[in-house]
Amino acid sequence: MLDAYFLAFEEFLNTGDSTAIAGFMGEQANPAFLSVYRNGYLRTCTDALAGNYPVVRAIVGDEYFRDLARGYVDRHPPTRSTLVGYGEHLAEFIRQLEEEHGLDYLADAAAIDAAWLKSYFAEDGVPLAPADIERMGANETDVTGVLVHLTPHVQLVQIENSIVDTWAMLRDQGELTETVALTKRAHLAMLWRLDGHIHIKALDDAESVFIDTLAKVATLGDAAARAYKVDESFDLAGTFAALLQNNILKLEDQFR
Amino acid sequence: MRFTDLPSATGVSLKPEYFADALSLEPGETWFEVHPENYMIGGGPRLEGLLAAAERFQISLHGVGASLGGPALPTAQHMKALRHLIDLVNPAAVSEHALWSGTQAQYFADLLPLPRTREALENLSDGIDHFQNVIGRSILIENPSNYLPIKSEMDEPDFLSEVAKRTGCGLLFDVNNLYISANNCGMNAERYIESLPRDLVGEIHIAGHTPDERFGDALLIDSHAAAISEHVWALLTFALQHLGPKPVLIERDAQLPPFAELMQEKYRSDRLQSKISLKDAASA
Repeated sequence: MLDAYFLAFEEFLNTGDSTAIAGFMGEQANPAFLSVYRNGYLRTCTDALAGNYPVVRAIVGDEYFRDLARGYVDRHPPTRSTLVGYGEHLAEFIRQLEEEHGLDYLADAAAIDAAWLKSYFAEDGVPLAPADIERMGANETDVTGVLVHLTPHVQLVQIENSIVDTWAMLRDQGELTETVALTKRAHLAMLWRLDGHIHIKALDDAESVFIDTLAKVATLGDAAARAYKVDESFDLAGTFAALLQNNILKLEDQFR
Repeated sequence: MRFTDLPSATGVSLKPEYFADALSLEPGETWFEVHPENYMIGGGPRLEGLLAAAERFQISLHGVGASLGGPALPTAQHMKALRHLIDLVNPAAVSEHALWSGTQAQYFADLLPLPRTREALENLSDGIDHFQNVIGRSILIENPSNYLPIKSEMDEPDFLSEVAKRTGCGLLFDVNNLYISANNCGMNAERYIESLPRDLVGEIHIAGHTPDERFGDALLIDSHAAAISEHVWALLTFALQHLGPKPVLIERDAQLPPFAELMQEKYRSDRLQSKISLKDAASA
């Protein structure tokens, strides 16, 4: 009997069909009050998506975002017992609806919104510090030969349009304060957390190769060699220093 | 049995928006409640804010996602993350709801009612047993807000008391939930309170509610998005007179007011508790 109750309630929440669940209600019940539960479920999920994807919402406006979110909840209902990070498939969902909304950069914005969340809630990790480099020097360890990885809060996002500056403006201000021209350009955007704030940067080709190689765990030497193949003028020293200053790199445990 | 290390004083909901205000209070000036599901994360400013608060104030972890009365036990992933958070925060109390919120495959992000049947009682008791075994401590279980009556075999106080006896958990009595249930389903609130075993109640919650957009006052919603109504304050007074001094929580989850407004509600509750404690002492 309890199993039948759960199934009937689940059917109502997912479809709005109250035929089965109404049979479990008391004689004095007003069946119309059941709508509280379905409305609550849908509103909580769409509100969570609106909070988790603020730039997508800013681009399309509240009304379309509600429709989009409502469709997403039907297609990808929450599966974990929290809505922190809910919307993992939104970028892909938006891409599949491109004919409808006509915004080829919207999926990029969703992918960056998702990466922002992951970065914000990620562990700090133990970043490679200048003192580690000094210690290696003192031990006569070849810095270019140690295995390096990225700290857990670093997120690399493959995007198809030059949307990073626009995304940052919308994230910070909620609206565009100047005209922007987006161009089609496949590249990586990197997000990371420093002092509690999330930063974002569009990577050029050599930076992309260098950092993406380290994301898979590599020596600095290997990653640099790959970056030089893409761009002979790659600024290894400058890039390495910037990554260090922003707590983006960490040593693999065996080298700590 | 002792279900909580919280003091018989009033605490408030802690939201990330309140971190700076909370940390400006004197240690011990209040205690705070959070929903653990919002902090079962790897790290970052939100978790750091909670841990900073936990260094100075007692924390109550009040879960909303374990679905203890549901068709599936909470997942191993959920319990592992909760245990980790408990280790980090060392909470003074852990509580959950006598409800369900999802299936094996889907989370409904809402507190869904159970029929008060023998079968549901056993199922809920199994869920609480599992939960308590995994975290290694007793919890408090909260009475639901009822929006419409469900065919049942027993009254709510009897149902909850029986669950508590079977599992060794305590009860978290939400005054606002009872007020809503009385309004929406015709429960007798005072008789309900008189039926609650005073020793099993480890904590009390009060919060604001809002009328449903369509049905108005005929259907009050447990929104936690408004100031506490005078009806709920009156019912809290009655509850404290019956149950004696207890930890009381001012709950607020939406339409967050300035922190000072929540603290005014906290001070009002503290004054109420003091008066009732004095009366108790005088009549003892």
